[in-house]
Amino acid sequence: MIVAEPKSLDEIKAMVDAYDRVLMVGCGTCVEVCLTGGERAVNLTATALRLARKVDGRDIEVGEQTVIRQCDFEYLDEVRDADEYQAIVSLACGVGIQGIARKFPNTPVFPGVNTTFMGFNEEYGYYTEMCKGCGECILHLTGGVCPVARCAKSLLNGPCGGTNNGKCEIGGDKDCGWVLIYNKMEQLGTLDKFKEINQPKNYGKAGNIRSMDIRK
Amino acid sequence: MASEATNVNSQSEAFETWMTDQPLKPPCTSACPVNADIQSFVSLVAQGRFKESLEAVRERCTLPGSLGRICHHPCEGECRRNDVEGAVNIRAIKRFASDVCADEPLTEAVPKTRGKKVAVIGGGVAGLTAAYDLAKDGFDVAIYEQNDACGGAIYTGVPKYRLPKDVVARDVAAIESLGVTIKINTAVGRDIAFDDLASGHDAVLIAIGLTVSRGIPIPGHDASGVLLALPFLKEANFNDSATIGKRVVVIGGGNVAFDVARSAKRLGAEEVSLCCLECEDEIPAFSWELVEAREEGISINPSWGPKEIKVEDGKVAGIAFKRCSRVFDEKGVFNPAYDENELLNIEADNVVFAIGQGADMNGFTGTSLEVDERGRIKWDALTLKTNLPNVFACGEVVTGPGAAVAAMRNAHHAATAIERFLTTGTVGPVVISEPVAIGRLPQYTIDAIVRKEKNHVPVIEPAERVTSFIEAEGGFDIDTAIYEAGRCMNCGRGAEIIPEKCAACLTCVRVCPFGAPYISAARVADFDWDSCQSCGICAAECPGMAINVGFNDDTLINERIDAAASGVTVFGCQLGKPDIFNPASKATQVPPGLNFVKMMCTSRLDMRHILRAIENGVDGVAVMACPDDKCRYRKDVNWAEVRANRVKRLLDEIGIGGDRVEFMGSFDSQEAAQQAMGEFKAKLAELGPNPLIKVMVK
Repeated sequence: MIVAEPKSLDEIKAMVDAYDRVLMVGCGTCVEVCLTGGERAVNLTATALRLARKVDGRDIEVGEQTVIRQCDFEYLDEVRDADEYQAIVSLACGVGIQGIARKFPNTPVFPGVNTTFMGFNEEYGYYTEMCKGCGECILHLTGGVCPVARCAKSLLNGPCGGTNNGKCEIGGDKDCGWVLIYNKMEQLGTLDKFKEINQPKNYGKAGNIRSMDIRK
Repeated sequence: MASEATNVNSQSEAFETWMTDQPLKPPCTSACPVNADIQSFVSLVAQGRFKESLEAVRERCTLPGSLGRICHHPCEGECRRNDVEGAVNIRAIKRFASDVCADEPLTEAVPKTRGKKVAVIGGGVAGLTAAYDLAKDGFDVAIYEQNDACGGAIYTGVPKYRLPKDVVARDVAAIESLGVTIKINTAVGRDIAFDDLASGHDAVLIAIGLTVSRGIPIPGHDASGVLLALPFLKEANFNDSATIGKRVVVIGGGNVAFDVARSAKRLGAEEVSLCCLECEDEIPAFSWELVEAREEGISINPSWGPKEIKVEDGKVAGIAFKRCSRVFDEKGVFNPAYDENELLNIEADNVVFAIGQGADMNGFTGTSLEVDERGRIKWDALTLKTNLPNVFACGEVVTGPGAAVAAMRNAHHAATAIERFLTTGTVGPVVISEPVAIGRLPQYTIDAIVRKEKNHVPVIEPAERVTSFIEAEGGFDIDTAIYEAGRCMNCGRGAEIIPEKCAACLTCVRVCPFGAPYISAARVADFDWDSCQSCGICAAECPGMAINVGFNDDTLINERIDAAASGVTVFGCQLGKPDIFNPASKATQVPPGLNFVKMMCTSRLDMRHILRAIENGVDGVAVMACPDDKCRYRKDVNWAEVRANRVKRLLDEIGIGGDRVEFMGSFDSQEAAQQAMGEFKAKLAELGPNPLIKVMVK
């Protein structure tokens, strides 16, 4: 799931300062699941924006809509009456925000959240990054624990000197990814493979302007 | 006018809508013969909304004060709290709602919009109930009652120690206030002819009950000192100088027999023996009658059939019983068998027959109302019709003896039949929705439910209560009633998913303490209503706003929030009482300057609720949560506090200031509550008015 965190109200308020009629659109998939961009988030953010502007003495009308996904044109077709608004604030990941921007090319679109990572839903309201989208998956070599996402340095061959009793030197009680890998491989009985050197990854595959076409 | 009349949403239609608005009903409602919306009136008591609760009771249980005392409460037998630590004391809560509102003004008359007149013969439980329904539907209803007041068996028969007569009068007055005409001391056949009633009204309902006690023609039955149950009970109820012999034998094992025996004791009888055909396990009276009768020193002798009454000088001297070896035969038919070798002789000054009752059909002699070979009204149980085109019948006169609430049920059906007859001119079977109850509590849910012991009403000690006809059972005080009502688990009124809005995100699954939500095969959340406790935690967290919670419905909560545009709005749980902030107020009165918004549990409190209050213009919002030992739910997370803190941060960002929201938790005392509210109000005064209001003024 793509995880996003809310932008501060101040930032959203500043972005739409020039407008008095904006549409706030939520996304009912990843960002709803991580409690940032679904119908509730839209309602709370819209209410907060409205109240903040009222305090400033300048009313703002905020429309509220949530679609199933903002990364599909078919779902974006469900956004109603967009032309009645001067601007759109999207509470979707960066993909969805751009979807909205493509769907409504003549309307300024603003991000209501910061997209942060691809993560695992550990428990209610708590998410951890698991994947960097590097384009060359080696999870089979590392006991199902990703060194690219879960080692602070994305090292491919064992921990650095900053590993400390299973924790990473960056602090915050973060686990050292390589200790996790070691423990998991020990559990799997594949520690012999731990000694094999992982070849350098082709980080070109993690580059920009990527696309995929599997139509043929 | 006719088309207008057919558009009326009748009592029966409203009930039908409610019965079908959700597939499963709670076990209490399902077990209740009138399918009363028990959770609603219990919940309203818990919220301190007593008058509304009483009206909710009355919708189906038309005599709340009386039934709050004498109903055999099958609801409680099915209450799922039995599987936790004890049923909710529903009957006592119903009684409380009636008693606490005793001095409230009566409701206004319902306009008689239908232009049709209905005569109800007999002002007992059935007649009153049908009159209530029909008057609520806008019919012009007149009750013809032969006694000097309405109530029927519960007026003349049920002893005062179980049901004081002023309570019956209060219930009757409420029905009369709807615009029902009550003609007392008017016996059909004696004071008014049945045929005149039938021709002078658009419909007639016969609800005359069973008013004639039966005896058994055994030797000695006509001796002086042999009494019949109903005349005896009437004498005990209304003649302050009524007397009885020192030794009394009551024949019969039903509730009436126990009323007789216990009344005899109160009239001064020293030895009261009750003898019945049935063996102990078969005694038809309610089990608590046996317990209470024994407490009062009454000797209960099962499996004895009366043989002969011994007479000396024309007066009762004693009675002989023969052993009853069987009451019902193999086919379940009443067919007692006796062993004449085993006899029981009891010396007695009075023998009272309490073996059953029949109808007094004298008022219908010579009319075209058809009766069967045994003199019973020919009646169709489905249409509630007699042979006459506009004459219906209901209650014990046609169903036979039973509980008061059963007569009430039949009367609701009769009112439905009459309403349809007078609206459409048709007669047909009254379709009766039989509610399906939700299942029992799963063990994992039982384990998760906070134990809260059942409250019992005070009962006068046996030695004292047999000395007079003073009511033996007391009622709840306000605190106890609210607490007891708060034990209701709102079975089956819980969370409902709006599938098209659900993202299957698992939030509900993760926050529910009771294990109710799950992801269905359709890959959306669903709720196991057997487990759901309606706390509303899930609804306030669901990111898709895809959950509705029966009693904690947003619409209801928002209505309460919108009641105030100034002062302080206080969010509290059902058990929270506004008077905690002001000892001078009653529990039902909200102190000035406060808007008390109650919800099932403040776990339901949504950030949006707080923002809504602020947006409405209140200066501040206080959030209460009950103490852990009183909370109806588990407090693994104090959701009310979590959400209050989230809103505080948001209000800081907005520029209104998080200080306008205060999480107060719970209070040990009124002093502590007053002090906290005083400090909060002082803080708000310092902050000045809600900045949104200043903006509005500007």
